[in-house]
Amino acid sequence: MELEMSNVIEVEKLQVSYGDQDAVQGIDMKIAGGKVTAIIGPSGCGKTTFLRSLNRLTELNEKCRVHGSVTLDGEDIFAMDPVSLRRRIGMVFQKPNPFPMSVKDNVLYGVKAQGGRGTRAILEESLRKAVLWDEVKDRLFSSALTLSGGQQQRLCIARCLAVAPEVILMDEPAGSLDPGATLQLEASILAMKGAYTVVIVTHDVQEARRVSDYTAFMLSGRVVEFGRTEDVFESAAKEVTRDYLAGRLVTAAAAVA
Amino acid sequence: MRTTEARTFAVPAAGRLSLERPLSGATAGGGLLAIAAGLASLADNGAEALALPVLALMLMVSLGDISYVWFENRTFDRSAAAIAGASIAGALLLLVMPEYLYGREINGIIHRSLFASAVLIAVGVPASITGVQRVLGGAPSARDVARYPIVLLPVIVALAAYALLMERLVSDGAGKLSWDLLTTSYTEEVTDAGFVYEAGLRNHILGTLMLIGLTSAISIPPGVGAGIFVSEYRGPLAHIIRFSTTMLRAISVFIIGVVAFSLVDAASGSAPGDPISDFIRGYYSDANGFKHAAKGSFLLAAVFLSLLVIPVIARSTEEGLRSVPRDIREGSIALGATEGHGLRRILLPWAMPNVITGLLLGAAEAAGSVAVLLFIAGTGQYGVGPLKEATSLSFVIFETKYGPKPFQDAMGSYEFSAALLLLIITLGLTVGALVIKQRFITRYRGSLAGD
Repeated sequence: MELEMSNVIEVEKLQVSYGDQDAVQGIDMKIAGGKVTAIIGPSGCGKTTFLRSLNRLTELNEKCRVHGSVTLDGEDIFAMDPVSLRRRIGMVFQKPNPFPMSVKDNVLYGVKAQGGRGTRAILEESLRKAVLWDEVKDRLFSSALTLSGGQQQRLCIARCLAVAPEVILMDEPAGSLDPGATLQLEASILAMKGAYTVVIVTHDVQEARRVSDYTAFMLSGRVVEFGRTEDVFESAAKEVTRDYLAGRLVTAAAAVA
Repeated sequence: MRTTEARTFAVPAAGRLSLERPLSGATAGGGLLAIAAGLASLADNGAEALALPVLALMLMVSLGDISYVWFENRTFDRSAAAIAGASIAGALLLLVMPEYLYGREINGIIHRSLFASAVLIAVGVPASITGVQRVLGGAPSARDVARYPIVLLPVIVALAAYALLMERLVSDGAGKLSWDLLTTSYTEEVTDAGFVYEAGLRNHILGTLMLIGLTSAISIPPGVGAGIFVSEYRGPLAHIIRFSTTMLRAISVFIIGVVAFSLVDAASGSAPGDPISDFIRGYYSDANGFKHAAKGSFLLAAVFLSLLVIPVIARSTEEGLRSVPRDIREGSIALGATEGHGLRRILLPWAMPNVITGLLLGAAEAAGSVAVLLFIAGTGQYGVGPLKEATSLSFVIFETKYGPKPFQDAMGSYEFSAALLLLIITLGLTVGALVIKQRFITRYRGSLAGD
């Protein structure tokens, strides 16, 4: 299903700081609906902070201050109730964080938390979308903690899909997985294309190339380059982007240049 | 720096008689003998006579050890030397020490046997452990030997103290326990012939359970609530609540007892049958059906005991909630779960083992506390119920020496039986709480066992 090119999230002049430390220094970005947008960049460039400000998880840190505007379908997210915002924007974390309960209860946790009924159909559909159903269909009532790391991460995706969000944020979801599990995870990300808007943060540029439609390269809290993935990878406008993609060391000063 | 191993000869040279194992066995045996002698002299002053022969034996064994290692290996066995040195030093100490030490501030005398047992245990613990370790094929270093007494001495002393206590409770208390005693209520009556009384612990046992149950029921909601508030909500009010629960803990138990009594005193104006009087003072009915006010009700006692228990539960709940991993908290929030839902489904189940620990500590407090009951509890002749006169096993122990004369006459010889029963109840509570706690840990914090 090819969606028309509508922007689901629009970010303008977003600034995020912790105390007197600026993590994100003015980002403008339009995130296309139904597409996978990858955010790459070296450690500490602010990509995770940027991602966490999109579902207002940054607010859990008292010292965090956010300026600028972010809209979801034209609605200002900072004017929305954070709980209902997070029901529309799901998140998968770097480390698999299944809840200490059964596979089934994990998947249906969000549904029940939002006041819905956790049906068998939702359970199966979510697990299928996360490409996990075949592996866990016989152990739905076992503790989620008995699954392997890769399975746990796909369970977290299924848990997120079960509440039918519009947008799914992924913070280095393959960060703690082995290569095989990473491939399976990427398969479930590719399966989401079209139906969900995915924003994925990764420091693995090849992963960004494999799964994403759009790529943003961040350095020192700024977006240095943003465009179609093949454009960014094959004909980047900035030299610093080409350096980074080629595996050369990049310095923070290059972000301003 | 780690000392080099003195013993490196795992395989003795062919055709030579190895004394390795016999000597290690002797060290182990001597050490165990020293511990036994030490415990004996802790229990009985006369047993201190064992100290010098046992220390001499240890000295000879260690000297044999040292010379054997020297001739085999040309190395110096430092751990054996340490034991030999400790034996000599200990023996010298005991030889120059007078039999009794008089303390200026102590209203009594300390016998030399206390020091004898300390010396024997201090020598015996490292000797027996190194000996056993060597017999089993290990090679303890001098540093290990130096560590054993520090690690194990407190354990041994605590176990010995516990054993002595149990011995006293069982020998003086268990023999007097009978089914009759457990199922009879204590009664006293004034007749023409004087006091007629019947001994019994039924109401005191049930009363202890009643106090534990009522106190737990009263203190869980505010305790858990305060713990949640302090852990989950920031701001001045959370600080105030935390500070006041801590301060509540610092109030002398005796003062809580006095305040409870002042309530009783204030209620003495209202007649029995009036709710104020019944709730605070409790009541009993005499043979003719007349209602009389009692000294203080179980409910009153439980309310004031819960002042001691609430801070414990609050603190342990708070610790349990703080131990929930951050990524699990965030996972719940990111799914659009409200704070309340996350609290019910994830945070509280996770914190449950801590809550249970707090409750257990609190219940033991409720069962064992006498000071709160001091002015408001009675002898337990009027039955058990929330509005009946408070009493408990711990209060019995106190009353057998300081209570009314008829109670002392009837129950004076049962203080150890009451203590033993109290111990059994708290032990049962502990075991039960551990089982439930483990279930929660397996269920809600995950375990390798899985399913």
